[in-house]
Amino acid sequence: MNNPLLILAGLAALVTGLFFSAGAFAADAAPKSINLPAVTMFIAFVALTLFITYWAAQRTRTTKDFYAAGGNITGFQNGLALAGDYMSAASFLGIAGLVYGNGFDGLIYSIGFLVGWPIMLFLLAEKLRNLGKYTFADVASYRLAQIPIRTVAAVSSLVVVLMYLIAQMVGAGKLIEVLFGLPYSYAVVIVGVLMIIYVTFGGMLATTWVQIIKAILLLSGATFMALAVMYSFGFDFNAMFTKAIEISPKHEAIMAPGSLIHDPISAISLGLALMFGVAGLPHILMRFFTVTNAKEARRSVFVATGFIGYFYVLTFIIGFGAIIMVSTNPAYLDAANKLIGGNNMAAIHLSQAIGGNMFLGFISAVAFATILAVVSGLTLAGASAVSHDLYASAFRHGRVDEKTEMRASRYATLALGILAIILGIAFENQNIAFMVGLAFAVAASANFPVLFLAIYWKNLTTRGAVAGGLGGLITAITLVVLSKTVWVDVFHFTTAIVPYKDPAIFSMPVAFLLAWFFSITDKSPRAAEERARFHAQYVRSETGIGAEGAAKH
Amino acid sequence: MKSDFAERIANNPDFKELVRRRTGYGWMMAAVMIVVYFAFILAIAYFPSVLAIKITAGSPISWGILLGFLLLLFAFILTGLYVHKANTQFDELTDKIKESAL
Repeated sequence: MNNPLLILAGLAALVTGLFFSAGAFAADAAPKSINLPAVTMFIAFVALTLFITYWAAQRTRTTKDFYAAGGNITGFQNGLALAGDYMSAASFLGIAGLVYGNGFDGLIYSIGFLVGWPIMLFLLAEKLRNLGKYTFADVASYRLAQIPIRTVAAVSSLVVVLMYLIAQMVGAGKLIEVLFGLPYSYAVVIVGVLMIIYVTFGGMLATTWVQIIKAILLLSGATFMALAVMYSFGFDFNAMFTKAIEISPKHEAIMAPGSLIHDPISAISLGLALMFGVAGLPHILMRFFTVTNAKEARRSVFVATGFIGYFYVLTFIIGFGAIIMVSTNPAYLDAANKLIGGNNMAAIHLSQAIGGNMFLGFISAVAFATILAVVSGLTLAGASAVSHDLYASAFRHGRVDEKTEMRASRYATLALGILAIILGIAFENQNIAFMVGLAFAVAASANFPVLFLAIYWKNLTTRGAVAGGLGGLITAITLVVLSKTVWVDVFHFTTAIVPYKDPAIFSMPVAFLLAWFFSITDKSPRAAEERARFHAQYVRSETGIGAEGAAKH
Repeated sequence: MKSDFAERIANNPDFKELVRRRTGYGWMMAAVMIVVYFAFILAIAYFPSVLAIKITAGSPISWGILLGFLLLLFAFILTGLYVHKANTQFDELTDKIKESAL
């Protein structure tokens, strides 16, 4: 690792080579043709991000640089990066596709994904910044026993990260197969190799800037599409909706709640997972340690909420635009009159309908860049759970120097990246629809309760936190496995054992109840000490006095 | 943080004032967001036909769509209100506490 520039250049050449050899390969093997503007713009994006990685690598010397970009990211930058982390290709293409197919129902998901942000701001953001260093486990274990708390936090973080990663990798492979005419496994390898490069060399600084650039590209592309749709209707919403109702096979039904939510239990359960899941996603929580202080942390949530909300308005217009401009055009339909590539391709087809092959190339490249940026953030969060929480804090009891921890985090990144590539290839033909839902459910049922109680509830003890965290994790996973999404759709049993798709309405109370019960019945001397330490934690969480970073200036 | 130092801050009337006001405000805002969001979700579950009603006769836009967009806007406005209050009033108090403590 002595000459990162050389390594980067070599890897860049490798990736570019893969593209062109794949082009030759695809030309013989598949009917799909290489989309030249898309490949060109994607390579330009990769070149730019590799340059940023090189720049960031020279500024990444300490663990604070690696995990938290030195703590020098501004609130606005972090807000854009948070939005970038959150606006995955799945939410861009997925929600646009949902709106395309179901109209109003797509909006239900958008709203659910957004409302978690204000909650996080009101209850956690500042306190997280005031108490933490690199990972949310720093906060959860602030006054509790390091080894058990960090182990539990790292395990549930890794579950969340891996579920999310698999979903992104498989999505990337399939998308790139359609967009670039590149074989699935090549696409997964390219994504994996690039994310390993960004994270190992550039750490949080490179990941943040990749995220910011991607967020700007995605927001610009989506804005242009929405404006083009609105322009064709003279910026008259009534005209657009009227036309969509006329064209859509569902007609008036696209303007009203459909089949997505039918019983109140499922509705509340999904709502809980979305609302409290955001505040338990490790790659999101980690971003709060990249800013200077609580004020910047607050500002970053405000900026993120604004961009994400704006983005969802755009995806809604894009979905309706696709109903009007794509669904009736035979060029985008297969023999069965279905959208080529499925409903998730609605936004992609719309870009071609609006701006021809050039703009299709741009949106394709943006979609690829989006996946790349999101998987980098996830990998960094997973790697820090391994190197900072499991290795440095739990296994070595914090007795480890900067250099060793840095090396550990780079190995962890490499290992996670390779694992993601293997899993991405292994899950190619699996039904992975449940994975992001499960990630949110685990985040809301394992990470959020422990973090929330550690900050707010004086009587939480290590025993209670471990019981609550593990209980929430196990309940959420078990219920999802026994529900239709896994039991029937993946394992092909005829009927599901649990009738509800989303577990949060059960698994969240389980976590809180177990944490409460095993804390109040904990009479050990350690528990007494932990309760006594709450006071100092409380003062620091409220004022930020003694917070990481503040003392160094 | 030494515990006697923490004790001194905790006994500072400004600290008590800060915690009381910010905690109250934060919880109130969170409660508002939770109630409004779940009211919307339950309306979808129980009264889908009401949300399908058009906002005016002849308009293609349903109440569901209008309320959905307003909810996105509402979430953003709530964060804005909180950040504004926190970055001015609450931070002023926090700075005062820090000055007197150091």
